[in-house]
Amino acid sequence: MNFRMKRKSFFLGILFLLWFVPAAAFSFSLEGRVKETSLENGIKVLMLERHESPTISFYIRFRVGAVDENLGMTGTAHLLEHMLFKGTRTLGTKNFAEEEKVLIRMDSVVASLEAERSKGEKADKGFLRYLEDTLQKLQAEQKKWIVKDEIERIYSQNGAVGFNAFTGQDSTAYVVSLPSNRLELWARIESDRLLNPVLREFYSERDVVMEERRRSYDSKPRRKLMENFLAAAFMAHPYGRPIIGWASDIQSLGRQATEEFFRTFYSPANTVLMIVGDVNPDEALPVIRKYFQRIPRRLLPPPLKTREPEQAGERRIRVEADANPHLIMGFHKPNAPHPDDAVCEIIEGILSYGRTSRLYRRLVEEEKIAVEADASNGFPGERYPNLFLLSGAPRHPHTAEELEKALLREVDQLKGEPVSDPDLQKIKNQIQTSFLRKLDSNSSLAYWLSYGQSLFGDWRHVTDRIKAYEKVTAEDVRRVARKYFIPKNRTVAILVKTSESP
Amino acid sequence: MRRRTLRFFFILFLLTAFLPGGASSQEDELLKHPRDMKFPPLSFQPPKASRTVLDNGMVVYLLENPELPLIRLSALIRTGSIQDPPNRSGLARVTAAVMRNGGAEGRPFKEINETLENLAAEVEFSMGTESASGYLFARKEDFARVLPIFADLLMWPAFDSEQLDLVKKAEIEAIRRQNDNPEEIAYREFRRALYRGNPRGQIPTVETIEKIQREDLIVFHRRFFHPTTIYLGVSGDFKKEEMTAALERTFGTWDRSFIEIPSIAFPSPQEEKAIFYAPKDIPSSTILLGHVSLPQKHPDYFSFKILNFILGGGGFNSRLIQEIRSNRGLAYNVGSFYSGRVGYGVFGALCQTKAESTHRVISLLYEIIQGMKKNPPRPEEIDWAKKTLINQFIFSFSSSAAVVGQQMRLEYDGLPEDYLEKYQERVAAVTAEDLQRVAREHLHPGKSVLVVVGKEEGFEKPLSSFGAVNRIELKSAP
Repeated sequence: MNFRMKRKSFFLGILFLLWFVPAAAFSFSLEGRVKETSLENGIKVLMLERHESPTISFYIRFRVGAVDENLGMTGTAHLLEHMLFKGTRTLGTKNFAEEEKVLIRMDSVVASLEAERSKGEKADKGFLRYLEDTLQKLQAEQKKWIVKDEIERIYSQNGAVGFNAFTGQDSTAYVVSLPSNRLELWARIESDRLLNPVLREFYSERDVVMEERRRSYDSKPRRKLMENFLAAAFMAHPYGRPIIGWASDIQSLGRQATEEFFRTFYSPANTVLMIVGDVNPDEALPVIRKYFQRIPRRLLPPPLKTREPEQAGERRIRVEADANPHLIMGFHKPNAPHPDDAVCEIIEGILSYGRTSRLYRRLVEEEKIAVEADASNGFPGERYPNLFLLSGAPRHPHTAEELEKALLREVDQLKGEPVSDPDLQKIKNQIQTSFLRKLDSNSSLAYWLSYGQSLFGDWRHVTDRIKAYEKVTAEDVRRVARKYFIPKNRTVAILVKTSESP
Repeated sequence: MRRRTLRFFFILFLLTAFLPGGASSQEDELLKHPRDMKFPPLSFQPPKASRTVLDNGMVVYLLENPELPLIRLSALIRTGSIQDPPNRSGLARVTAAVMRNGGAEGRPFKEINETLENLAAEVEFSMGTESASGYLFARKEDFARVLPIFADLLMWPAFDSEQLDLVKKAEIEAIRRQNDNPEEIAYREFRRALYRGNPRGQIPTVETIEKIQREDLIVFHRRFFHPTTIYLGVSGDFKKEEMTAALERTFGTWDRSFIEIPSIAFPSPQEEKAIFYAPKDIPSSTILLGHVSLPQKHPDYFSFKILNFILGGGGFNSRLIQEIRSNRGLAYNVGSFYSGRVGYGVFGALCQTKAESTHRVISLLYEIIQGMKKNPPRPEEIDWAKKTLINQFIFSFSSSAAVVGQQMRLEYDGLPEDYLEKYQERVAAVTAEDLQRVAREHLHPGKSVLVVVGKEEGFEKPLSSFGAVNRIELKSAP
């Protein structure tokens, strides 16, 4: 029952490896199979035929995420994603003209309410009560016009599965899989969501997101640790802010500002439509044109200029919770397509792929100081310089500090003795095969092709980049380890049991 | 600046819209309500795996699919943690883990790990409550090297003592950490309460894990792992005859044996309401409410499945999500679940909400479940649920591995062979009267187990207003 889950960018590094195309190793290739079209308004359409079953996976990915939010507005991208499930001028309403009148009145009541509340102690209690009553009455009035969750009802009756959306730091995706005779239904609904969205039931949905935050972050020790860790690791860049938003920001997000965010960023130039499955591109394209070409072109705002300044020394934090110890450590590094990113990807493999990986063999199997130990490249996003992570859980009576020392020892070892050729080859083999594995599902193909297209401007980027992994040498590993895995460049966060903190 | 640009493109949009054959009619067409849209018919012959039986009695399902040069094999084994001896709770899980990690006779585990990871192949075993499973993944060209490894681990595991020690240590650490996450606490305590007096309700402890010896694993393996207790399913790029021959060769040395798998009593239904509260200092409460329910073979299975769909299993339009999430904004995660198993089933509702609305949400859960009896499903709800289940059915065939897995599972659970063919028909046959009767007979909010994890000091009203509360002290590890 996890609707609209946050994309787990934690896995990003691993999944990226899937795009290794060992050209000679097998005849299967995506080149020539992916049909590319650009609509006149700038929307990019990618189609891939797979006729295994009469189903299609649809992905619409927008190049906008939490990283594009301004200070004080954290959580907007994610709340907007929730709001786009609420319908349009024709879906989710019995009479939009009447409903709109109520919506406008509601906005002004909410504005007064928030202004009054912001006075804190000095707020006029009577006035507050009046405004709250008025809001409730308006909500009840609006209900008369609303057809609840109509988009979801239509999709599910038509056999949809996996109707969902994901907000990340870098992009936001809206996904659904349908029986293949329903392509036009998708085009009708999705183009309408982009042309005529109505952010109805905004304030109750904002409460839902607050519940999501309480449940997924504030009540889960490891997520809390990660949130604190990122905030410590990034001083200037928005990658340090949580995708879901800070609680105080979420509670004051407004409908109009959220709509403004939509108009700014959900532009055709930021949009990729990805269709994988039992589709005939020649028949599908006219349908797609008919519906999506209506969306007007818009100028995008200038790109973010903030860059994370070079770290001036180790940062170290402790997070208290009613839970056992855990550790996260991160080093700043460049993002793809910088060649050092590919080297970090290989390092991730050396340290953490499988039972023969260094972290498992040494920390878990031999020394038995950890129950888990992981490495992960490319967190929390890929559009801007990011982090290489090491993390783990110590095994009692061993401590997080002992685990930290052991992890650093493994990192230091990368700086000295070069990795053997068979070890390097093993990682490259694993990369090749995981690529193949992910080709046999419509939805995973749709996920990754749209990811490459949206973040790097070409779905082939993901395969191109994998070629970079192939070139990585043992010497590269040493050089990169020496360059980035240094004390000055590291942030360490430790989860401490509440009762044990000094 | 932006405004001017917008206007410019707005004009452009109008122009394009007016171009072909009059905009208004096209615009009407485009805004046609989806309920009025018509779709071409869909014709599809679902693939079917073929069933064979090896000479030693092992049942095998095969489905060729040459799309990618890969082969996947899965195994279902008639055992499970329900077979744990009472004072060795956790033995089944430990056995499966050490089967994989401890190597096989003549194949040290280090060698196995090196070989598999160099080939980027995968072999895993895992233990469920009512079955164990095995999994193999390899590239086509490596399959001949990987299959013997899988088979030897399955038939002749070495149970290396060092690896046993490591697995036990990991299990003990997991027990130390079992109170870190509120959902894990809630599900565990729900299970303990729901299946009290039944092996399904047994939860491993540090003591039961510590007691486990290598000899216990050997005995457990000998009792449950035999050709006649194992179902294999293979899908991918191979030829059936060659695959059958390879499996005969590999498993042929394993003699047929006639063994009895001890039958375990099914859990019995709750007789009265039972409330459990586990205190934890967190802002969000986790609430689980449910009871033992109908088995999959029950004549009312499909009716209950649809009932649960309308109540809280069917997404945003189901009653629980509509009321608690969409209308009131009281939760992000709310819904109900129903799983019909062999001999019994389990039904429950879950919700997570802030401490300050915990009492209200629990009342709503009771009310809405009770409401299924008082206000039985309306025609439009039934229509929506049936259409959804019928139209979604096609997704059960979206991968060859899923098709094979389904057929194996049907035989394992002793369901009729035509279960899949008749599925849509059976969903369609459910009537409003069935749903009304099933709600009356098989939904028991008043005889449910209720588990709440959270900080009661923050609740609007004490839990005791729902009845006597059993407090669970979450002991933190020393």
